[in-house]
Amino acid sequence: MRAGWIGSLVTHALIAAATLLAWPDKDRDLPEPSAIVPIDIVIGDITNVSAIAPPPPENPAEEAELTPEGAPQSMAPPTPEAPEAINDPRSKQKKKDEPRRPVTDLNDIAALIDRSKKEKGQTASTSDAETGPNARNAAGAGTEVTASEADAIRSAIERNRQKFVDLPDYERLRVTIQIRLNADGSLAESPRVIRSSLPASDPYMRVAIDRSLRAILTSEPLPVAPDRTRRATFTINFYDR
Amino acid sequence: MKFWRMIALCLATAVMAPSAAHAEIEIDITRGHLNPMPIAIPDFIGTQAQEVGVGRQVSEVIRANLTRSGLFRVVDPAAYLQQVPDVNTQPRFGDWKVTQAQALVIGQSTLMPDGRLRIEFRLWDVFGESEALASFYATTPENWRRIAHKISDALYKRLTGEDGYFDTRVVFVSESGPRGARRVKQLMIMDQDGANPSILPTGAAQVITPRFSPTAQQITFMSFETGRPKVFLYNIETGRREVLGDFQGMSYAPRFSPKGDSVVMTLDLGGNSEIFRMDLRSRATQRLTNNPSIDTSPSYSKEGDQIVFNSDRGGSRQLYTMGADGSNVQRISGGGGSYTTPVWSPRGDLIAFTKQVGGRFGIGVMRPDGSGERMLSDAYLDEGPTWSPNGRVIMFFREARPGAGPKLWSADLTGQNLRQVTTPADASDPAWSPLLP
Repeated sequence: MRAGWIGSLVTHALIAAATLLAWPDKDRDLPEPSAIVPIDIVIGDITNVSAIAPPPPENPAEEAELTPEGAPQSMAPPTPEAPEAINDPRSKQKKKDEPRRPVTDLNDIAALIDRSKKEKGQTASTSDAETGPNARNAAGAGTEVTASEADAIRSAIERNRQKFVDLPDYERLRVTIQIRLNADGSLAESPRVIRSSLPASDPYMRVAIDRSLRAILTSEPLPVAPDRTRRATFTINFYDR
Repeated sequence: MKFWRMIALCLATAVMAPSAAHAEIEIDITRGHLNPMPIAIPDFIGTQAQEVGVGRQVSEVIRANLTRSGLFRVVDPAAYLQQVPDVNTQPRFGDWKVTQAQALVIGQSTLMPDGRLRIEFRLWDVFGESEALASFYATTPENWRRIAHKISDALYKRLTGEDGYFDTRVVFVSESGPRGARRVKQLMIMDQDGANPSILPTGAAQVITPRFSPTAQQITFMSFETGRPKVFLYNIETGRREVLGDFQGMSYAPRFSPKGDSVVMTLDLGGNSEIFRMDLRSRATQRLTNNPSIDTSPSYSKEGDQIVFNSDRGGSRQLYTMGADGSNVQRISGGGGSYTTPVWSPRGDLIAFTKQVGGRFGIGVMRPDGSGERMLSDAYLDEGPTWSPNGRVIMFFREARPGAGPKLWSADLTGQNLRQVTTPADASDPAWSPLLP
């Protein structure tokens, strides 16, 4: 009897104590402690492997029509060539044969700038004469390019231009690009970066150059005068105030 | 002879005339937009089912990372016209130009004979029709998410010029249970995108103010487990834990130096809070402030030569800077309201803080000299800012209304990209890690 009373008292005391404890209501939802995954990442550069596999035909439908009956309908993906094929003269020949506009290699921008600096050094007086204030005035002075045409080109590029203002010290970023337009407003050649306020190796300068080139390329064809019959060259300065 | 002179003159005129007409026109472009860059990221290619599955997961994480940054807009995969068959195949740029994507990421996952996972990718400039970046990563298959973050960082850096912040982790206080003294506050760690959350086995149940070392997988935090608030040092990889100094009074608000070799913190000296520096090697302490008011929440500048802190020495809680040795104290905050929890940006150009005005709290930034103050958020309670390692994004915790549990949020420096960060439970006091090695 006495043992029963003691047992009952202990049990009730334990129940009362349990109500005083805090039982976290969300602990069950929390994941169990886990070990940190060991970091073992090998990083390699594959920029030396050129993506040289020939692009599939522009119009697969036409290609399919030429496929004889019974032949597999789906074309096997082109087999990528070995890395060393980057130096294969055949691939270069193939690129030469393509009637495409030269491609702007953003990675070669530094080389472009260096080259343009050298060229500028050789023909400084001519370049200054052509790109200086006199040339600006020439827009409405009876030359082929009119001020309204320049305004239209400016507007078109500004619509597609991502500003620099989100980049640190954007006031220091200035890019000058030369473009040559065909009579229909298409680019006669790849835009040429002729000046940048910082070396192109600066990551922010590189982004500013990328954005400027992209603004031009996405605006192609640029709005030229309807009666244009000749190519025209423009020097475009990109910067933010 | 005259005839030939005339011919020569005519030829010269004919040659010169076009060059005059072709005078270059100079155009200044100073306007534009700041819209997110459209980018196309198809699912990474794979041959075996496992490779395809991992490739899809990796590309999903990359898409989510870049979208969350606010700087990119992933073009809807339904709009993609080409299925690039191989990472080494040059894409048909015309097909991608149609989608308006300015950049294209093609990747491929491969399970190697040694059991490791290799993921390679190429970033293409669609309108420039050129390759902008190519690289590969190899690791154990279960580590695929790290690879996704690494690739995100590489893409981000190439396209923005800034270091990325995706391969990072966040330590925060996970809160559960009833409010008040019995609330359980444990440290949790997760990837910056909220994935892989797990409780840090620090051995303490009442923990606040975790702070990441900028140089190692090490944190410092304050715990009540000894009865008095004490600052602890905890190595995440080894699990080693120790008390930083056995002081008589309370110690709190710790913060690492930029080199990670010392910690500044507040010590309570008989009711007077002062800022001290502790060398982590010698454990020698140096008193930096000596003022009868409350000086607390110290944070080092990027170079480690200055410290920002808050003090009520002027009557209300304001922000002050001083030299790393405690010299040259200067008040930098000047607006109305009270300023707390200052944190110097890893870039060094800004200081983030919590500002209380009229019963509402917000996160703001100002230059180190106090100029250019601007608020990024405003709510019932926004507090505890922490910077991403590239100094572009700020994470903090928010209580949207009285009684609502705290949640983690992030915003970029424009204040425009405000997003909630998913956590398993209520969360406060986030601390952002440096980029993982």
